[in-house]
This record gives sequence, structure tokens and C-alpha cells, in this order.
Amino acid sequence: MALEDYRNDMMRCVRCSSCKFIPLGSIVKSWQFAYGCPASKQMNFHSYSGSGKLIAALSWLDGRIGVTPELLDVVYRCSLCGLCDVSCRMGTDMEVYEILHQLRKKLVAEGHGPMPAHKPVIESVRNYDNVWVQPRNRRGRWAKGLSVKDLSKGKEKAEVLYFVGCTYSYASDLMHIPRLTAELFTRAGVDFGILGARELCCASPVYMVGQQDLYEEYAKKNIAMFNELGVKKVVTSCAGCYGVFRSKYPLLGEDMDFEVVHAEEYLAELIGSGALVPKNKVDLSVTFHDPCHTGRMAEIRAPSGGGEECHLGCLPVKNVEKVLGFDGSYDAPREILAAIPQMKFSEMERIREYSFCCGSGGGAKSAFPDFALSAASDRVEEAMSTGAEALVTNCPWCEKNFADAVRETGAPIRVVDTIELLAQSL
Amino acid sequence: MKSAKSKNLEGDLAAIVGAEFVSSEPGETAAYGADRSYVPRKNPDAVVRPQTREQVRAVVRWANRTRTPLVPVSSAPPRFRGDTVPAAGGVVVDLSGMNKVLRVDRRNRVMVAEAGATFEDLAPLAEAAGLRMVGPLLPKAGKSILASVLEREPGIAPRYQWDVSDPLCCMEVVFGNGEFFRTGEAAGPGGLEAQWKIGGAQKFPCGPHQLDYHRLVQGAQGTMGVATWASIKCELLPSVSSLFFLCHDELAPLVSYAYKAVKRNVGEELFLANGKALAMMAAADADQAARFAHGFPSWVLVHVINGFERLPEERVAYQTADAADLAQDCGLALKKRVDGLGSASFLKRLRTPGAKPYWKHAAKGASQEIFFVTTMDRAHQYLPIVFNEASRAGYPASDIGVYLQPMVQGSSCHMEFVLPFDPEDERDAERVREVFFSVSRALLAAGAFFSRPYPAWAADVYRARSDAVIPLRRVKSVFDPNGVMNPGKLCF
Amino acid sequence: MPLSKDVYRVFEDIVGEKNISDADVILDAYTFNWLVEFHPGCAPGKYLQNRPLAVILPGSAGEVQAIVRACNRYGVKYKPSSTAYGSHAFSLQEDVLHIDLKRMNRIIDIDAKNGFAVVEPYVPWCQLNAEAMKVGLFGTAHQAGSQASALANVTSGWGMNTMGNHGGHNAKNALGVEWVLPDGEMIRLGPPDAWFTGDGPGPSLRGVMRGHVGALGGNGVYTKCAVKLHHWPGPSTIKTAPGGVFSGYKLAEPLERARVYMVDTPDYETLADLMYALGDAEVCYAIMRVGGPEHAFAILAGAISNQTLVDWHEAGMVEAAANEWNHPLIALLYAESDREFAYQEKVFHQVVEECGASIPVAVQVSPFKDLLEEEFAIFLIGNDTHWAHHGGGFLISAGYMGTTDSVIRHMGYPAEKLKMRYVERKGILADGPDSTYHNSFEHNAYIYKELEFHYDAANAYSVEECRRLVAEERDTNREQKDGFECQDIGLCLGDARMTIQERFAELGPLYGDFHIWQERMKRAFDPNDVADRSTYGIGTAARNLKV
Repeated sequence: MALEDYRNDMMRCVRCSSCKFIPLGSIVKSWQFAYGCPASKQMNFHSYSGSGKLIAALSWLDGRIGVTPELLDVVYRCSLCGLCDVSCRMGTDMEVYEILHQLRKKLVAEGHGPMPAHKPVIESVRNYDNVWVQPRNRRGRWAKGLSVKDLSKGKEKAEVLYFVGCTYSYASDLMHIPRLTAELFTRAGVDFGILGARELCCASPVYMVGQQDLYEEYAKKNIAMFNELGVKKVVTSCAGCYGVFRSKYPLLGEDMDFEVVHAEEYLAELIGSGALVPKNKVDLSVTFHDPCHTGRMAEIRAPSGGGEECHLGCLPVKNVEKVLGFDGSYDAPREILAAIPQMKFSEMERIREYSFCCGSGGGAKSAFPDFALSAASDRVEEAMSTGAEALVTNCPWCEKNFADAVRETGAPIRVVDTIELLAQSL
Repeated sequence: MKSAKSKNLEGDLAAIVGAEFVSSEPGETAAYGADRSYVPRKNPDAVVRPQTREQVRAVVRWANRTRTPLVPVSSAPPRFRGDTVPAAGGVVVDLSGMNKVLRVDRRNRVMVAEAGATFEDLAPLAEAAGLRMVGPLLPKAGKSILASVLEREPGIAPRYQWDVSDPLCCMEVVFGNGEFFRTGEAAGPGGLEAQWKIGGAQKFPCGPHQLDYHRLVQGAQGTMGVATWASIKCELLPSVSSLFFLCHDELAPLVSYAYKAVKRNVGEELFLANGKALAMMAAADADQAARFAHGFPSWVLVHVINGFERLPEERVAYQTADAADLAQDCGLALKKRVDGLGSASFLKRLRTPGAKPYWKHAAKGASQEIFFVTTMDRAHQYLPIVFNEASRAGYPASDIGVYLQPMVQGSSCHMEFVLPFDPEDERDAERVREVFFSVSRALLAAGAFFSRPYPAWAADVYRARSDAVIPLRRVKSVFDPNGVMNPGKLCF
Repeated sequence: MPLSKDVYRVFEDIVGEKNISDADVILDAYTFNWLVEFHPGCAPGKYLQNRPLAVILPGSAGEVQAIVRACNRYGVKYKPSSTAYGSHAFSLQEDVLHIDLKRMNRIIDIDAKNGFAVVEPYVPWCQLNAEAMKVGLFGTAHQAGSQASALANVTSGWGMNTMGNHGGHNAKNALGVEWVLPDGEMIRLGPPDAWFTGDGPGPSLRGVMRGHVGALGGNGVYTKCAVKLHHWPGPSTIKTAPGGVFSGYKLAEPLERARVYMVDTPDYETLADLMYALGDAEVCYAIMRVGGPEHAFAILAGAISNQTLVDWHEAGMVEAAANEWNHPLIALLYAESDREFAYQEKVFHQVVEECGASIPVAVQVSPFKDLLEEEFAIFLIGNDTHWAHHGGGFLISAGYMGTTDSVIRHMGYPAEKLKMRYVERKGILADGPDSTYHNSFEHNAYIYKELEFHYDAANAYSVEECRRLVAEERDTNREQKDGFECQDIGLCLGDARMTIQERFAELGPLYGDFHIWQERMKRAFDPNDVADRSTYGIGTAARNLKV
């Protein structure tokens, strides 16, 4: 599968600009929060929109343009959040996200990408199995003092693997999230274990910047390891890990003998079954941000590879089922928040499949921190507009980026993980 | 006595229209040399009365050859606004003889009339076809329909006015350079008959292509060319109508009601007036006007709800109920009578074009009018300016009629002050003259938008709008490169 | 010839370094567009032959004025655009500076009482209507979709819209306008300090502003505009939920006092009678049609996927509908009060019955009943129309604005016969003979119709067939000599043989030599000939016109 395979889709872009906005069929709710594409919101040349990137890809394929710093800026100043894909697909069969991904892949394959800021991350994965240039043996530090099964040595077995992910494992300001999660699992009697120092990067970050070879290597290693562990479920707290496990790993064609579950989906089930009963009141007004990778980017978009048949004269029909972003994990965090006594919940305008990206993904935070911050600030403003005292989410990347935006703008709002609130109420 | 110049003109023009349709007799030309405005008298050298479009074109071409000013006139006298007084002399092109209603098309709700056709000419024909033209408030007898729409006189049913250009659809113009042109959908191919044959009805006004010619002829006071016919959008003739008065001492609640009713398409005819103006509109003579004025409330909103072909009674019933709800929201009530004036008789008057006396003259036999465009919620700001300025000049504010006509679906509003005076009383007339100019100046200074700058206002208006003057002169140079059309008007 | 460094610096100084670019990757996004295939020399690709010199992003009217003045000073041609959907948004000339107005994206004001909004160029209808609905108003979003600019639609291009039966054509919905003239002077149409009207003093310069089609960027730059809004009987926000067939969403809760009907007529004559009668009755918020049953199904299947349309055909649903329906019409009833809605319903059914129209059985049962009830309002309100591009190609031809009778007589033969020949040759989507899209305006005072043909923009054969189809259709119409040639006045399509501008030159004499009048106006307003003329009048050939 290659960029060239999607030439037809590039030709079929009509430059209508729908990719810049949240799906029109969802009915835009305000002037302020109509944009869905953070890149297009910040960068005003059309080239930065989904459509613009399709045109850029076609121009490059056709030899109309060369690889220049401007092309790399257009391609990588983007969080690859998939909103353009959702908005476009509401009316067409185009595979916008796949083209954007293939464009990055080709740039990397031909030695032009990714961006310099991405290279240490890639090297870190290659050398340390994580994106944070941290030693492997510190990966399990978050669990210090917890009584949790260690599945890495093959001696202990469990039904559930709790896969923590690089950021929750190493980021000292976020480490309490996996600890709380593990405590909740323990409290609910879940039979789970962790991999500790043997846990590998999910490779989502390298996938996103187009480093396909490394992604495939790590994805296959992970699948093999999960299969080998014999667990029924792989539960993760990290949206990035969840998204790639759920939507990208299956496309590699490997057998996956386990179910991928977000920690919050699991906890919502535990609440539903009565295993966990939130009792303590949490007097807080909150709103929830759907991370791209638990939402639309967690949905399997089987790429067509350009395969299509012609029907009814000249109607191109793709060889894959079309998805619209509806199959993300949207309900679990809302169910958890709804179960917390006295919590007041308000939705933002851009939610679920058309959630506005925090701006951190796709390597944007490392390569274009100004862009990431701008997107996060936009989202924080939207959260503020609901009257919420706290912006709740369940992705470490989003949380870090929002925290930066709140710090930068001085916005009077807290950034909180769903798990923290749940723990507070138990 | 005719001058040699006049004799030459007459000869040239007679060759075009025939001797019986041209005159340079001072007795005849003098009738066009002045009107009821304060524009100084200037008699034309001749008056020509073309009977066909070809004659109109030939006259315009002749004027270009001879660099003779032309002033098109299509309404019968008296005239009030100074726009047809030939500031630079020349020839008046009197189109009143071209007064045929060429077509009334029920299916497409449109009619085509020549320049001289009046509201009185059209009304029975339209009615016979089940249509009506929703024209301006109580047009004077002999008022040309085409002149009215070219002047952008507001119709009294604002919900039918999608655009300020409505109800004008298309027209034929002989531009100042002597070329024929048909605007909008009528542009082509073929002429009227050919277009009718294929189901066309000269309805869509815009274009052709990337210019809106009709907008450039409207409001031009005959400075761009001579329109020979126009197609006018009509509406269904009501089969049941119910007129209501809504009264209040303050303007604000009525404005509030007007916004709601117009926006929600409740009813059709809708306008506001102070008691004085309503009295003038309703009165058969000066005495009745005085009596009415004495008893009428400060402010009245007139609202007509109609039923048409389908379930007319039910339509009137539900709309009346909706209107009553709106009125209640505004602290008002729908009334069928206001101090001696019944709704049925007033409705009849409203629907009688050319009714006499002309309403603005009903109180004292003559009047001056000052009008501009604003919005309904701004209207109250202008009242003290006018009343104070009038009082300062010794003119009783209580004599001033105020008429507010919501326009363009309620987005703006024609605001008019009518200053009645006794034409036989020189002091009264002189006082009104002073008031007219001082009030006009005060309104201009307060930012009132004189969108139709007749000669009394044009210089002041354009002095403040140099940004508009240059492009308007460019337009003029395109349509009338030799400047023969009504020179001295607007900013030309 | 590229911009010299010095001249580039002049523009850069106006907008700042970040807001101008001459990088190839940036320029190509202003070279590629829908319908470029119909410019001779471009097909089968979608790139115009010329890139702009640079793309510049002004952030204010003052910056626009400075740019236009600099263009006049240095003899640089310029073309402004806002959302820029379709080839007309770009210049066909060489050496043109493209002014992208995306940074000018504010709603300056919504005057709820007087019913208008003042907007900058890059406020799409979706943003405007989101705010307008909150105050009980609604703007007549262009049928190209509500992602398109409201200002552009009202001041500069097209004006057709789905809600026009109630709200009118957008050529008539402009009030005050701020306009940087082609020579760089800035004027206000209407009063200098308010927006409630754009007409006067004296003749309305709106007449120079747009016309029927819109100046398409060939007449300076409109930097602000008051857009007339219309009464909105609905809620302040529309709640939607995932699902539905053609926009991906359906109403989360039914709209009160609103109902969408699909009514069928046995022939075009009855269809015309029905439209006139509904216009007279004034009971519809919107009246439109999306062609015959096969075409309607093709449109409706859009969002779910092209596969859905194939499935519907294979399941016999399309055939069944085609057997039952002939020439359907869609009407939206929408009332403010229960009484009004009851009246609308009663009159609507009376009209339908009297005209010999009917409500097909198929639309009274699922799935089409649900579609009409739960989804069609979303189409009308959200106006997400990019579903119409099944293969990235959606050819609009035979656009015609006029009375119902004059328009409808061209909905049938010869257009249908011609279309079916191309269907048989598999050059366009096989979606039945009747693919007439139509909107009514001002209670059917006039209507706009166009023929829609779906092609595959990635399929060179399909593109070429469409180019032939347009050319042949024009020949057919020309032979008829009955007014149908008016079609092209509203559109910007070339065909296999000629540019649309060449076509306009042929049509000019039939329409009062409008091309000559336009050129006269052009020369009067643009003395340095720098405002892009490639989509204005008869294009660059007008330079040689003797006017």
C-alpha cells in the first residue's frame, strides 16, 4: 500500500473546505467552535487543510512540486487527528486520513521525513522501547509499592494485562493515574497484571510520523507478547496505545487473541456491574474532551489500497466498508462521570467523532509546539465556555498539552483525568 | 414667444415623433418648468411625447447628436420633488402617452406596463386577473407605476419586499447613449412576445450576467436613460381582508409589534403613523382631517391580514389569532376602529389608488415631505430633532404627520415627515419652506440617510459622500457618456 | 513573470511574512479545484495551467486596500477569494496575485431586530446560521453547502439556495457593503455608518457589485457585508445524533411544527402546476427538487457510501421507486405557531390533491419515511452538500433562472434524451433521465434549475464524456432557439471546445450585448486593468472589444 494507490481520491477532492469544519450534518453550534481542523484554524493557507494536503500529495506525485521545507511544514504541522477524514467521509468515500498517513510514510521512506524533532523520539523507541529516552528498568516505577502481578516473567498469569504506556509510565506528573487505576482494579477484584520493564512502546508515535518499519516491528512484538501472555484483555489507560491497538494493529494481519479495552471502558463496566460504587460527592462542574485516539482514531479504517470497482456507469465503489467515526469509545467516560454523585456535567460543542483535537498528536507537540499550544488553548476556551471548573479527559498527551495551555493562558480551569475523579468518589 | 432654438428643436423632434407630439409653446413647457418643490423654475425648451420605444430611442440619439439635455417625465402633475424640473433646460420627454398595460400574467403574478401607466390604469386590470400590485401608500392620481418603482417608493406590505428594488422585475431602457437594453431575465433572447411564448414572464430582476442594471436606473432620477416599460411583481388579490389598528401613546410598543409581525410574515400591509398622518390618510377633506387628528391616538399601526384563494377565512382567522398573541406580548390590542375611523372604510381607501384628496394635501391643501431610510428602532431618535427644529421655526410640531414604512422585510424603514401648509397662505408657505430646509439639515447632521436625494438634498448629501460620488460618476459615464440625461441632478 | 523581490517585499510589509507565500506547495492549493476539468487544456487533471504569483492573506479591510493599491501601483493583477469552492474562485490568467480572505473571518454584528448580520468574507453559512438561529433568524445558505462563504454568496457569486422560497435569492439579500474598488478606493454602499441598506444615495452601486452571477472576484474586493437574515421558526440549536443515510446524522428530536414532504407528479406539466399553486398558497418554507427517483436515490445514498447506492439498486428499491414515482418535488413546511402549521398542512394537502399530485407510498414507510422525517431537515439546515460528489465530479449544466413554465419545459426532452445517451456510454452515473435540481424563490416567483451529472473526476473517459455532453447540450439548445440558451449565463463551465468566456462572447448579442456593457463598466472602474478579468464578462478577450 502506497501513496500512489490513492491517486484517485486525490483527484476527487473538490476543495469544498468541508474538511476544515466539524461535519456540517452535525449542525455547527457557534461561530467560535465551528472549525474541526486545528491546522486549518491556525494556518490560513488552504494547503494546511485536509484538502490542501491531498493536493500537495498529488502535486508531489505528479512532480509539480519538490520536497521543500514548506511541504514538510504543511504535512507535519498537523496533529493527524482525523477530523478532516470524518468530515469528508460524511459525504464521500474518500480516505483522507490514509492519504495523510501515506504521505508521511513516503516522505520518511524517501529520506525527507520526519521532522528533526521527531528523530530523538524514534531513536528513543529504537534504543529504549519508549518515547521519553528513559531506561527500560524505570518503566515499572509507577507501580512501586503496589501489589500487582508482574506478567513479564511468565510466572504469574492474569486474565487482564494492564498496559500502561510510555507516558503514564515515565511522566512523574501523570504517574498517579496508572496507580489509581491499578488500585481501582484491585479494589474491584480484577485479575490483572502488568509488564513492568518488559512493556514496550505501542509505537503509535512512530506510526503517526510515518516511520512505518519501526512501527511494524514494535506492533508485531507487542501482538506476539500479548498473545504469549494468554490474557483475554489488554487494558490500557493511554489513548494513544488504545487507538493504535484497536484500530491499527488489526490491519497488520496478525492473529490477536485478546480484546483491547480502555481502562475507562473497563471501569465503567465495573461500575455497571456494581463492583465499584462511587459514593462520595464530588461537587464539581466538568466537561469532557474526547481524545482523537479513543474516539474517531480508535475506529478501524481498513484502507482500500486504492481498490475499487466501477458500477452504474462510472460510480467508483471502494472495496472496504466505510466508517464515519461513530465507533470510537465515547460512552465510558461519560458513564463514569454520570455515576459520580453531585458532579455537574456539560458537553462542549465539538464532541465524540467530531471532537476538536488538543493539538498534541501526530508529532505536532514535539515539532511544532506553538501549533499544539494554539489548538489546546482553543479547546480550553471551549471547555471554559461550558462553565466547567474542570476539563476532564483520558489521554496523557491531551492532559499534558492542556496543562501547558492552561499554564500559558492562565485560564481558570483544572485539567483532570477521569480516573482521578472516580477515585475521589470511591 | 418661441425662440429660434425652440423652433429648431421642435422641427427636429417633430421629424421623430410627429408634430402633434412635440411642443415648444411656452404655455406648455412652463408646466414642466417648476413643481411643488423648492427647485428654481427652469422651463424646458420643448416637450416631446413619444408614443413608441423606437421614438424614445430616436429622441435620445438626437439629444446625443445635439448635446441637448433630456428630462424624462412619466407621471401626471402635480409633481413634488424637483427631479423632473429641467435644471439645464433642454427637452422634457413626457412618457405619459405610453401608458398601456402590456400584459397581466396571473400564473406568474406579474404585469408589464409602459412608462406612463398609472396605478389607476393597472388596478382594474390586475383585479380582473385576480392580482394586485402592492404599491406605495396612497399614490397620488396620475402617478406612473414605473416612476414609482424607479424612485424606490416603498410598498406598504414589507413582507413582500425581499429587496429594495422590489416590486420592479425587469425593464427596457434606452440608455443615455441611445442604446436599447432590457434588464434582468428580460435581456434575451428575443423580445417580450418571444419570451412570453416560451413561458417567460420577465420576472427575475438581476443581471444579465454580472451587473444589475435595474439598480443603476432605479434612484437615478432619469439621469441614466429612459425606461419605456417595466415588469412589476404582483401578488394575489385578497378575497378576504381584515384591517386592524394598534394604538399607543408611545412608538416603541408598536415598533416592537411591527418587527415581530413582519419577520413572522403575519399579515401583509403594515405601516405606522402618528395620529396626524393617519388623519391625513383617512380624511376626505381638511375638516375631517382636523377632526380625526384631534381624536386619534399619538401612534397607530395599521395592519391588514388577508385571505387569498385557499381557505381565506381560515387564513385570516389563524393569522388574526397569531397577531393578537403578538399584540398581547407588546402590551397592545387589535382594534377594528379608531375614534371615528372604521377599519373597512380605511381599508377601502388604502386600496383605491389615486384617491382624492392626495393624502399629504388633505390637511391644508399642500405639504412638503422629508423622508429618509433608517431602521424602526432608530426612528424615535429623529422625532425630537424634527419637532424641535420645527417648533424653533414657529411651525407647530403637532401639525407634522409622521409615517413609518417598514421596508425590505423589516430590515429598514422609510421615515417620512409631512409638513402640511395652506398654499394660499404665503406666510404659512414661507414658514414651511424654512422648516423644510432647517429640518432637512438637522436630520442630515444627525446622520439620517437620504437614500433618495432629490434636488433639495442632493448637494448636502453628496458633499458628505465623496466616496460614492466617484463611482456614481463612472456609472454615469458608461450609460450617458455625453451627459444628456437630466443634467444637474444627484451628483452629475 | 514572477513578482520581483522588491514588489514581494511591498506586499509582505502589508501583511507580515507569515501571511504571504510563493512556495509551490502553497500555490498549488490555489490551482486545483472542482470543475477545472472544464477549462480547455486542463482536463483530465484538475490543475489550472497557471499558478498564482503568490498567495496573500490580508487580515483587515485596510490591508486589502493597501494590497489593491499596491497592485495598481505595480501593475499586478489580483484575484480575491473566500472559501473558493469551484474553478471560478481562481484566476485563469497568468501572473496574478491571489488574495485569500481566510483571516477575515469575523461576524461583526448580528442585528437581531432588523434581521441582518454583518460579516467578513470568510464566515461560512454554517457559522453564521449557528449564531443566527440563536436569535430566531436564518440565512439562506448556498446550495453548494454551508461551508461556503456567506459574503461571497451574497456579494460575489451565485446566490441560489435551498431556503429561497422563504428567504429569496441571495442576489437580493445584500444590505450594506464595504467594498475596495478595483482601483483601491474604499466605499460603503448605503449609509457610511450603518448597515441596514446598501442602496443609495441615488442609484444603487449594488448594480455594479454583482448582477445575477456575481463578479466572481473581478470587481475589487468586498470586505464586509450585511446579509439579510430571515425568520427562523426552529430551535436555537439543532440536536443531532449519529445515523441517517445521507449526512451521517439524524435529528435527535423531531423539529416542532416542521414537516418535509416528497410529492410526486405524473408529468412536468403537473409539476409546474403544483409549483405555481404552492407558490400562490405561500405555505412552504422551502420548495426544491433533486430530480427523478433514480437521481434522488443517488443523492440520498451519498454519505453512507457509493456501495449503498449499488446495494439499493441490487435490492430493487430504486427500480421500485422509479416505477412508482415520476417527477417528485420536496417541500418543507415550517411554522411558528400551531395554528399556522395546521393551516399549512391543510392547504398543502388541498393543493397536492387538486393538482393531481400524490405522496408516493414508498415515502410513507421506512426507510424513506424516516429519511424525510429525521434527516431531510438536516440537509436543509446543515446544508452539507458535498455528498453530491460520488466520484469527485459533479457537473452542473443548463443552469437557468426564470419562471417555472420557462424553466420546467426544459426539464424533460431534450435534456433527458441526451443524458441517457451518455448514461448508455457509461460516461456518467446511471441515475435515470431526470436529474434536475431546482429551488424556488420568493414563493415560486422564479426558480433556478440545473441539470446535474455525476462523473468520476479520476476517470479520464468520464471527464471527457462530460465535456462532450456539455458541448452537445449547448448545441442542442442553440438549435432550439427558444430562450434556453440563457442557461449558461449562470454558470462558469467550459466544454470540450471552448471556454465559458468564449461562450459568453457568443451569447452576448442575444442578451443585449451585456458583454460590451460589462466591459465599459470594467474600464470605468478598473483603469489599470488589475482586477482579475478571467472570470468577468467574456474574460481577457474583452480587452480587444471595441466598446
